[in-house]
Amino acid sequence: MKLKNTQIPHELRQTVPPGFRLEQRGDFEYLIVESIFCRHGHNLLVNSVKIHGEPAIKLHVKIGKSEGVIFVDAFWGSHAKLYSFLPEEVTPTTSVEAFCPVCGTSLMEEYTCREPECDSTRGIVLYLPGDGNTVHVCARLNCPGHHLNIIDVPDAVINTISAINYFGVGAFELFGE
Amino acid sequence: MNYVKIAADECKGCRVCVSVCPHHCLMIGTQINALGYQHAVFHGFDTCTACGLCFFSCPEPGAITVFADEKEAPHE
Ligand code: SF4
Ligand code: SF4
Ligand SMILES: [Zn+2]
Ligand SMILES: [Zn+2]
Repeated sequence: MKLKNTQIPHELRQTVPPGFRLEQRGDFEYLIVESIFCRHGHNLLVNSVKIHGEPAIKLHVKIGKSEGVIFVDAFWGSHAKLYSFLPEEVTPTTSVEAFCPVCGTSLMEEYTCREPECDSTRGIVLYLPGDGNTVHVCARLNCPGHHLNIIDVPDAVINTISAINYFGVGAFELFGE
Repeated sequence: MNYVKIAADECKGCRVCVSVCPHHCLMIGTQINALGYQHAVFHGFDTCTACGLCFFSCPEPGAITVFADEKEAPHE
């Protein structure tokens, strides 16, 4: 699991999916989530906490025996985050349970993870603008699996975006600032 | 063998990895890194299963690298 920095594929410049924007930082382009909601339409992006200079996605989560709030980087594929608590009593099959921090509704759904070594059947579902557009994230704590479902965007583009999983090394190195 | 490398200067000493590791392979050390934090250290050469929980839980991508089924211990 070495660091990698995935280039944004060329075809994406023509078809940026709803809820995202493409932004140049340093030598790289990044897909940034700019609208994301719970199933009841509550905005999950918060201005009060910024990661890499952008509003973070706020979720209420239960992990193992602990629960609290996490803030997730809005940069697509980044795994940077902030915790309000220390996850305890975790095992390799522990799944995250996520809730809307505004209305408390569960964000969990059935989901068949596509990662080869993961047999998880639970996922976190987040809603993008437009009917039926969603992001699914595998609930297994040690799995990077995630997938976009976007009506009206070609499958090839969706699959390319879904495959993006880069691991930045902090704002300075990541963005060359 | 399995082991984890901590990039000391990327770590902010938050203890999340210490808390999630089921085999208690990680601890906060006494050294202070370039950011002024006491960073995590790995001491689980006999017990790490390379499960990746520390890697996926760490809020600073780049602080942790997991090595699975390596023939030799790392040369430091
Ligand atoms: S890979 Fe798993 S067992 Fe090894 S240090 Fe990380 S959490 Fe512990
Ligand atoms: S989780 Fe990451 S940042 Fe926090 S102490 Fe462990 S290595 Fe350091
Ligand atoms: Zn809600
Ligand atoms: Zn998975």
